Amino acid sequence: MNARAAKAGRAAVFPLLLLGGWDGLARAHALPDSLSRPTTIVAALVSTVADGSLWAMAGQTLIAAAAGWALGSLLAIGAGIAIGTTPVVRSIVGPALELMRSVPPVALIPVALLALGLGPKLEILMVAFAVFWPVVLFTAAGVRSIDARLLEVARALRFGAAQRILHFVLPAAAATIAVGLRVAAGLALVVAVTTEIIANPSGLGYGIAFASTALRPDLMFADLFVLALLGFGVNALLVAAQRRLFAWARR
Amino acid sequence: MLFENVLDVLAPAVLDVRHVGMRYESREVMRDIHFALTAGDFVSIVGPSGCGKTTLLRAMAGLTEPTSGSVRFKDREIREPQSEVAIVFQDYNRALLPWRTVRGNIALALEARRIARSEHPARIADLLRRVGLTRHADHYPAQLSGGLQQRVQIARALAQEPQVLLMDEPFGALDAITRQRLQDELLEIWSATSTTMVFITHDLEEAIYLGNRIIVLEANPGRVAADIRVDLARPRHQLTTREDSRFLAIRHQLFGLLSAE
Ligand SMILES: Nc1ncnc2c1ncn2[C@@H]1O[C@H](COP(=O)(O)OP(=O)(O)O)[C@@H](O)[C@H]1O
Ligand SMILES: [Mg+2]
Repeated sequence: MNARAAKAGRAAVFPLLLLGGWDGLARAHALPDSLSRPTTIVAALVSTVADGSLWAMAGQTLIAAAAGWALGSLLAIGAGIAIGTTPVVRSIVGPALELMRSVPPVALIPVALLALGLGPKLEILMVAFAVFWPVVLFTAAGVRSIDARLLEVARALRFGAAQRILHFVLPAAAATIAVGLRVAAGLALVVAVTTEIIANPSGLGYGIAFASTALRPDLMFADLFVLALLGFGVNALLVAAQRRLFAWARR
Repeated sequence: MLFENVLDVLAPAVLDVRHVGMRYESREVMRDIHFALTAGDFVSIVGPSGCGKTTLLRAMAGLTEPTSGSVRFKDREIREPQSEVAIVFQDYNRALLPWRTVRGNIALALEARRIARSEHPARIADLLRRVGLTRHADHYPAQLSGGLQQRVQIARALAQEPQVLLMDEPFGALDAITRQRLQDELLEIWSATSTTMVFITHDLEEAIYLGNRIIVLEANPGRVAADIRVDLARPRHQLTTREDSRFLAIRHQLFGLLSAE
């Protein structure tokens, strides 16, 4: 416990120094006013937490990101299994997939805007689209990495295709898929916030854009801080889930 | 030849290997391998490495189709794995599901046979007892030694309740003591069931100790060099059986056959 406290203490040193330096420089007017000051930001944080607006925005972003992440991942896992298990599918869709993957998802926001208009649907679909690529690649790679011997065991036991996927392929690929899902979660937040800034007036992204136009840097930084916490929290949650699910992989 | 046919009439073949040949592109791996297994047999197959032992066993399991000839189980030609024929792979560390416990790995064979869940616990408990894994039921494969992992694979194969059990150098990677213990356990399992055993090994003494028949293969291409009866008393005993003069005679014979190449 003491070791853990010491570790947390050491981890806090650098951010505190940074914040202290920032506050000092701002007070000495060595920084532009548009950067605000940590103490003012904390005040903005406290007031937006108190009036509930910060929670509401964080909730909107989190829900849209999670919905898009779940939708995109589900489709991607299905597609990844098909690609990973079937050479024909792989040779047909593989090259197209590589091409699609190199389109930055954010560049498609204007296109999607034309098709879907402003709103949460656009945001969720943008996230789903962005998330699809890493998950499909990790899933296909995980599926292909299964030991040929295990597939032979499945054959020798005369399992059908569905059972083979359920009992052999998916569990064998699960650890790799989980890495893809974690990469995707980070990406989901990025794309959700970007879409909110550009094309969906809700959530933390809109909060940041609004604070910027309203010349409220303190609010802007408060939102950014919450966004960082959100990303950190989501990742920590997924790491913990991964640990629990793949306990068998550790000796 | 006549003798073989008489045997066929007296005890019908369970597994019939008929003039099996195998080529990989221009390379001929097996040529005209022909023999039949009688129910309840314990057949050891020996031969130099690369002579096609694994290929032959895989053909018998229905995992590979031979390029010529055929393998029949009773009156059925084997083109794909049969529920009555189980296989134990040499590489136990690759043949078990690492995400399932010992219990779960054995259950796999029961799931494959669509046996009701309610029957699993009793059957698994019985199999665990037979291979001496009761204490390790809830361990994952990675937590087990090689000998224990191979026991899991054997238990899973037995869970299929096969009529023929094919084993590819199952004890090849184990230390001498573990190996002897598993040999005796396997003989006990064999005498308690009527399973026909096919046991590949490159260890001549192991082949004699376990089998009542030894098929000797020679290489390039793999062919049957000899088919030897082993009339040693059962139950066999690690010391006295191996000191038996007939044991030593067969050992000499095998040694001669395999070093003649
Ligand atoms: N899938 C394959 N493709 C090409 N050659 C193979 C294949 N499988 C086995 N062989 C060759 O067939 C020969 C016999 O192999 P194998 O049956 O594994 O022998 P053994 O088990 O007696 O050591 C070897 O020379 C091996 O290289
Ligand atoms: Mg081999």
